Amino acid sequence: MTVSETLPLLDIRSLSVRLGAGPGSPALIESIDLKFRAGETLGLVGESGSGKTTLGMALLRLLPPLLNRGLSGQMLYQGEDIAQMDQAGLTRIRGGEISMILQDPMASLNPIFTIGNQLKEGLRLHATQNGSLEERAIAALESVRIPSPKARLHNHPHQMSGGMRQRVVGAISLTRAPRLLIADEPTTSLDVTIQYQFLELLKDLQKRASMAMLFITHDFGVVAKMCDRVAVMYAGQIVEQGPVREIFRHPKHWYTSALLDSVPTLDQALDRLPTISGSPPAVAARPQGCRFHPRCPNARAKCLETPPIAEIAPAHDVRCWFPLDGKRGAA
Amino acid sequence: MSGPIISARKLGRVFKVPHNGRNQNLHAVSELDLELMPGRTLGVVGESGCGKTTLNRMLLLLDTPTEGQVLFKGQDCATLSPEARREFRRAVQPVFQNPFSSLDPRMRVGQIIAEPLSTIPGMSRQDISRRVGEVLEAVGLRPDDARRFPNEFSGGQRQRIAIARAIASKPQVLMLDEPVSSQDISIRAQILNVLKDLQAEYGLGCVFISHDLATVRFMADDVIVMYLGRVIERGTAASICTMPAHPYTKALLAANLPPDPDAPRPELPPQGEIPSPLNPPSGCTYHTRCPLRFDRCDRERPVNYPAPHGGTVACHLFDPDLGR
Repeated sequence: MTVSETLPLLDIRSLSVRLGAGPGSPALIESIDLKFRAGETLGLVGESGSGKTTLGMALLRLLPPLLNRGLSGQMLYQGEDIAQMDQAGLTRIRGGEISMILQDPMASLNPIFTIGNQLKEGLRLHATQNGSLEERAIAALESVRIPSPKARLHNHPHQMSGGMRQRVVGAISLTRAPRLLIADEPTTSLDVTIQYQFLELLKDLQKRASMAMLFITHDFGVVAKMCDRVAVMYAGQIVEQGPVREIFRHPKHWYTSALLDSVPTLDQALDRLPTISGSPPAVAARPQGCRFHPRCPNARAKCLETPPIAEIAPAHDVRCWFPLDGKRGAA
Repeated sequence: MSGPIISARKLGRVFKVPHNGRNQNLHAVSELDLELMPGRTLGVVGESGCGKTTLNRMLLLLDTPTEGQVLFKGQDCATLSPEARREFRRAVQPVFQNPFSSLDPRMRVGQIIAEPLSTIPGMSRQDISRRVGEVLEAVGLRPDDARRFPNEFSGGQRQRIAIARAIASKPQVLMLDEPVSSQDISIRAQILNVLKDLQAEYGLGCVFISHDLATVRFMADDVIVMYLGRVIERGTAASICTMPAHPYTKALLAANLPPDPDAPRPELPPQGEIPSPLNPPSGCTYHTRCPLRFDRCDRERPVNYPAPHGGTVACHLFDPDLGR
């Protein structure tokens, strides 16, 4: 089965997740449009409560029942709508086509089973490959560079370091060669030098399997290292998306630009950091119109109306009535 | 005052931990020297298990060193009189990482901030409530907020409350242990600015503990880099971040991902795992991960050699006698 070059791997169209089925229920995420092409990495950046994890969970239909009832819109995976899929279809998609790595490996691994046991569970479902389960489990651990993999199969999760545990989770999620990997803050619980190595490993595995990746993070440094494209979320909406260089060099949304400026960097000693006033709104207290206008230095009367998301440059969309002009840091 | 407010001499902390059925010694901090001068900020950088939190606890007199001394204005803290100890408690105040656990949910914000003031003799209730209002304003909150409870505030506001409590007793030193790590990015910059303003306004000395070198660069004047309980490099914040000497400091800098898609690939990318502090490697404890190790590194522990940036570095490569 070959996929047409023009058809995106995953096409998300006006996806919303509300707290229940009523049209007036508050939305956790609203009117999300995103496309994934095979092999590319899309970074999804935002602060806590912006809805990035809800989006990741919706893609695998892993939302709690209340939110599942509030799901609307389409998620076309190679033409099939995940939002309408039955249980059999979802079982085929989950792990096999789309897989996931979560933030805390201690919470994703079962503490009472050996990691060999947990690796083989996934392998057993995938009966087409040759070789014994044991051999394939060892190969899976080798692929994520776990030293002496044969002995490690008999380890329990607590006998491994945090970095190693996250690599085991990576091995498990990749056993069925998914086409898309959702990585939700996979390195947030790791030390910086361990994070670096895990990101390098992920990139390498991705290249070899030509797998697409949705990389959910709050860290612009991680986005810069890992991603081809970026979507910035604020209060449940995508406020800007585009190629990674475009977003970093010429951000058009005031939020993106202010967020990039507020991160301290190693090469400049500043007296003060530029800040964004206030804090992100709670789901039930999201403002009318542009969601960012109460914190925006450029807010005007027009901002009380909801801005549409519009293409401002090739493949670069922004949701703002008065987008920024010019290069970042040039002023 | 000319001398350091707080200093540590050959400070060490050994924990006895049960391991494989018997007690083993865990050296959380070893032979650590530091000096904090009034009005200066000392950054402490390192990853998990490097001893930075144990160091913080010892400098706050919340934990007793098993070796060496903590000195407060030149006096050994182990022998402080009760009176001097109370002065220490007023003068040195902590701000912890997580304001969801460091603020008592049953106390009103005003009570939380006033608590350290109760140790100061001769303060009337009016004095106390005035001071509470002052410090709330100093951290960007309103004096009215004193009547509310911590759960009415966001994470960033709670950390401001924790900072207000810390400065209420007009301390000379703030001990900041990862004060922004639990905050969202748009909030981090706000908190760091508040801390920097307070530092300048009150002439506070600060110990700023963090795993993030970029944040330390912004906050600190001087930096020590720790690895498995030992200081492996020290210098000014600018010199450590622009011309690091120790291979571990270089790896830490390389692991700091700049928000720039065209950033060059680091010269010495980090490799290997952090060894267990229960069973640290011989010689230089970094040799198991060091791309520049040579035969001397696993046999002999490096002393502090002068570094090209004017600080010191514990790495055999900087031994002036090397190759003679």
